[in-house]
Amino acid sequence: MSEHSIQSSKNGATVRVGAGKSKANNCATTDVIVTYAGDKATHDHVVISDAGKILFKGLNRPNKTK
Amino acid sequence: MESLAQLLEKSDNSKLFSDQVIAEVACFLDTPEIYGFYGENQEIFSQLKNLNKKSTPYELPAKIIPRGAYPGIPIQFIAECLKNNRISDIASLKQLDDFDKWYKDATTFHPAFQYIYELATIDQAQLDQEQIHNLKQTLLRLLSCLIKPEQKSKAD
Repeated sequence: MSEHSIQSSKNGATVRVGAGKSKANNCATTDVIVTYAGDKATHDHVVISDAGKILFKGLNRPNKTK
Repeated sequence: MESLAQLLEKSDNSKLFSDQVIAEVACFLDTPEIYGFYGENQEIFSQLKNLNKKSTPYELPAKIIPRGAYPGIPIQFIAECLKNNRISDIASLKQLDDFDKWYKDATTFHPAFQYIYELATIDQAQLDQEQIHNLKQTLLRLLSCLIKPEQKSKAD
């Protein structure tokens, strides 16, 4: 059911990749979400358009100061 | 509120469809400016979170009235299938002329419709009783996003 399937999980980092369609940008999209074992507050989320443009880059790392 | 990382991990380890849809919707809520339907996705998230909290099964109102300008034909069809425990019949929505306007297209009227259709195509023969119960309750909660809530009479 989930469109964000796990593509890789190694060294505590899990990468999920999903496909979507952006209504706002009128294009197909690829989502990449990275989560980190042991840090449940953190995730990185990047959305790439079918033209190769990064539409969204959310680096959520509240536990990292550097 | 659980973080996206927690919701994704919970979904990985859960056999319940409600957990899978919650995690998927949370991914879209993480990027509202890209995928839109923020209010609709929030509603799905909230409905399914309530399903996981409450043990009381959700029941459809006696009269199914689509919300706003949502298309009546697919909504009534889904409701009839659920009332008669014919979940797999929902997949025949694909035969309707306007299916492409509602499913995975920029003109889709509500993302709950996408999830209802996809869940209805799951082979129930492979599921246990808990999963079948959760599947039906998930579908009912998703359908509730497309219909007007039951009006209470003044006597109630």
